[in-house]
Amino acid sequence: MDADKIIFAGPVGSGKTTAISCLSDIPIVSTDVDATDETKERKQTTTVAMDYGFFTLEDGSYIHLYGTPGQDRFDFMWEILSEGGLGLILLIDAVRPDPVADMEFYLDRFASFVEKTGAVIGITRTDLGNPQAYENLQDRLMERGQIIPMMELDARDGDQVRLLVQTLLAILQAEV
Amino acid sequence: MDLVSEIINKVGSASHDEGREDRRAECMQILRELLNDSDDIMAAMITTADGHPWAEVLPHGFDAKRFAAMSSALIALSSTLAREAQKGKTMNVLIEGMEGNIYVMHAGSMVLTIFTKIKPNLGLTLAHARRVADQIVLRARQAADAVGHTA
Repeated sequence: MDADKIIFAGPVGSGKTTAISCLSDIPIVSTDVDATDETKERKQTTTVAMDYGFFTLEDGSYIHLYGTPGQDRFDFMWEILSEGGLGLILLIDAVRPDPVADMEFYLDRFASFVEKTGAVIGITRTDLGNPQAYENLQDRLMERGQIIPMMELDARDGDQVRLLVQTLLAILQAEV
Repeated sequence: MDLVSEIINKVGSASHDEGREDRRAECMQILRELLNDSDDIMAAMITTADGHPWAEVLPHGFDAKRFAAMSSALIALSSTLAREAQKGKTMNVLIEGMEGNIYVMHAGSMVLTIFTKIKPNLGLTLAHARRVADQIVLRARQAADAVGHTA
């Protein structure tokens, strides 16, 4: 396959940089800068251009991992980075004020990309609250008539992130 | 976090709204002077490193919010490339377009973006821009000292 990159999207602080860091075979290329807005209540730095890493599959081929900036003022980077991508990994932070709205926002903004490719959803930070997040997100997906694999995960756990990526690759292969 | 962001954060708190606006007005003035001093520079903006507009002198049709985000993404990625290629700290990013150039540079923790006319004098416009970037850092330092005195 010539297109061999996966795009990570989702709100600020949902774990995109962390997930790519723990999956990547190399130290990631990151473009984090100090946050000056409400983001800094959550964390000191934020990604403004992209994160990049890669990992090697069992057959020796590479999967490139691109993380997008969370804030929608960087939406031009979403388009640039999505170009030629295999599929989307959407990370949703369970303890942000409205995870369902977050999911809908990113699914709508990446709609044409997801339609052409595929997506999986990872729900992060569920250890900090909102045990209904999974159910609420699934319900809304049903209402939207979308079937997208979804799982709770700890973005700091490489095995869990790898499972999410493998799920994406599996559905992409099933679609071929 | 460096001095410039620190001072913007300090003056950004509710009780310092006036100081924040003064600082912004001062930056606007610096940019207007830059445009007066250089025939080649047609627009300029100062943004935070994380992509928010701070002060700008832009023609109609230039979207400050969008250009702020693009400037911060561009210089962040360029700095990462320069660092990983062991080229040291990034001074400027130069975009040479057929209809004019764009220079993006750090000004402390802020980012200065300059838009030139077609075929500018490269050295002179860069020197003007660098002087303004230094001025912004200096003013921020002075404002930090002032806040320090009143605190």
